[in-house]
Amino acid sequence: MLGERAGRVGTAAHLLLRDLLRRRIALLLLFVVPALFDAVVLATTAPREIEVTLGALEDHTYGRTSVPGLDQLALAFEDDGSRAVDEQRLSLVFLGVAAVSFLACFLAFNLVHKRRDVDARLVLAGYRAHEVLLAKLLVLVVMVLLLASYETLILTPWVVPRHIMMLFVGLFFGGFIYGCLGMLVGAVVKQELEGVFTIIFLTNIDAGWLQNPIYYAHSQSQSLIRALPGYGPVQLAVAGSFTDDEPRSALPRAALCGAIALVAALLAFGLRIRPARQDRSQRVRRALHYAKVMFVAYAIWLGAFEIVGHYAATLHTVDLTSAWDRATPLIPAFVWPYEACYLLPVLSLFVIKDWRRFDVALVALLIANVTAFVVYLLVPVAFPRPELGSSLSERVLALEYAADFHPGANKLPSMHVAMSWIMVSAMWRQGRRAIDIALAVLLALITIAPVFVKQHLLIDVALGVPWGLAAYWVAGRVYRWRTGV
Amino acid sequence: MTTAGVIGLLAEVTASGATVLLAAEEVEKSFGRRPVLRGASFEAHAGELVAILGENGSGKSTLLRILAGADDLDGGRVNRGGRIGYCPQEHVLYPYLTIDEHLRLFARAYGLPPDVALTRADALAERLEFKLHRRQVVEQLSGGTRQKLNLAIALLHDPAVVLLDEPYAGLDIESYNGFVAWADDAKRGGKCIVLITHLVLERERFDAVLHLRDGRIHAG
Repeated sequence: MLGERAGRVGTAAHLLLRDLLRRRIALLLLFVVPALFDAVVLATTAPREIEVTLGALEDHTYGRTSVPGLDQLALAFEDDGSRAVDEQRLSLVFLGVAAVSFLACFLAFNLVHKRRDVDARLVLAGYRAHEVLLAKLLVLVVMVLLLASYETLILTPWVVPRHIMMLFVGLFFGGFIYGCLGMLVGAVVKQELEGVFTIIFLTNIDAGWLQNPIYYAHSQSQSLIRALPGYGPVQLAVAGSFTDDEPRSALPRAALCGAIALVAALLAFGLRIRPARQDRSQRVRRALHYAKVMFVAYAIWLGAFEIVGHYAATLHTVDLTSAWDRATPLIPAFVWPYEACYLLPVLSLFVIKDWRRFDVALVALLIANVTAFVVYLLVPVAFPRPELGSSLSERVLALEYAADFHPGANKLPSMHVAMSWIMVSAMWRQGRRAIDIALAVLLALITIAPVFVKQHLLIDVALGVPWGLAAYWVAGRVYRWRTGV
Repeated sequence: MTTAGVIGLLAEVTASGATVLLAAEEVEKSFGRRPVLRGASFEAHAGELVAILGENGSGKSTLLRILAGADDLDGGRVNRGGRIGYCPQEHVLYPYLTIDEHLRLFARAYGLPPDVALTRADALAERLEFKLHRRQVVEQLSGGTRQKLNLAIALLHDPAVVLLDEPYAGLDIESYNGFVAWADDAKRGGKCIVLITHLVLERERFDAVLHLRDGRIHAG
């Protein structure tokens, strides 16, 4: 059975790869564009030493300062990431990653967009959707390996990298992440032209511009650049080519970005080619509708939260750490219940039966956030974070810390807690008693987790609970007033 | 559809003794707020050639896609009494694969053993007259040959129910005659063929002619 499935995937992958590589423009792109990029660099730059900043080599801590006029918390660098490198060689490596990213994105888009109808026909004929997905993924990985190997090969004589494997890994991740994004774009956009513009826009801005270490060194928004998908791959390739230092955060970031892009691409493409549902109940249709609503709401919320946080972090912050906070130990394992908060909206799609509860929850989330944003701007809270070790929980927690605002913002009240209470309120007494008990246990863990992982202070959590409950109560009144139900 | 459902459907025999191979019951489908199908119902039996007619945009292709299982339905149900072969209106093909590669890939999808797949592919190439082009990629094929491949993919696994969306489009007269001969043979072999066509002049060839109007099926 497994052999038969592997055979089906193998046949599909083999023929899909053949279909892609027979396109002359694809072959031309594969071999000419990287060489062209390198030729342009060699013709337009001269060997000279310049100072750049490699974010992945930065090593810093936030400590208290008594310098008058400075914030209560100040950044103390043990390594600011600055290195002297040859500009020409640096440009070759940086543009090498950009070329691989662009080509992989474009090829993956081609692999999906023009062929999605015939892929769906293949599924209708009897292929399983996951077999086609796996075949596409295999083709993508082969293409990216080919591209990364070729780019490494043509760069090596000019760059003479210190660690050729790390250069290759950086190029591979650049191609893989952007390949997945290309698949995602191919599955989502309708017209080919829209897709091509999206790809050019995405790859140019990130891999082809913002990730340039020369630009990064002087950027006012380094945290934004670090959050982009091209960051990990470029840092790996540049650090591997020019230093013997370990770019600590680059590999996990690249892997995480790759995983997120892969899941998003496979989901979007899987939905495109899935077999038709001909017995879909009313309940499933409603759940899908609300899943879409939730996705849009989440995107809007995330944008607003980031804007408020970035601005609040530039204001004068206060440290509200209490003696109880100092007495509370760091327990990294609580990062898992902390992350479980993000599952609650998804869980609600399965638990909620009265969909009016969902509408009320959405209104409550709006009220809770808008009011909290006012407080975030009036009282920006920041506090020092503990040193972390290398266990899995601590590595995950380190990612949370890295993604947070510096020196601190959006803490009081804890939206993590408030939003969890809102979602559980919406799910409460919608099913069996056992579900309520499980929800109560989960909510209790989510509520105390931010304190034990030092993401929030006790006062943030203490305020977050009534904040969420009050928002849900007000939203219920508003909903009843507007709808009469 | 469950096994019990299939058995129930196959057991359902009309007064004329023919087995119902395809049944649509109150099928509903909307695009956004625009309803296209508002309770379309019909039955097609073994050995029948059924035509669906209708104005442009009346929902014929949508109905056929739903019957084939290629599109979600919003309401109602579709029962199928055997494997479906579906030929869409557009040439849904891989642009840089040859005819033989397509047939090999779809034979894998249908779960056909290689020797059976080869025999069927040879027979279809003979009947639909594309054997000279078997090693050419789709991009190099004429519109008519692409349509033949489109059709061959739908027929490769010898389905009991064949759903064809304007199958004559782009075919030359010899190929059209070849198709008509195939359809007559298939009918005699007990297949159920449902097709969308605009060639109303040949309506005497059909066992049933259905009109899709206002989202509903009307006989006659």
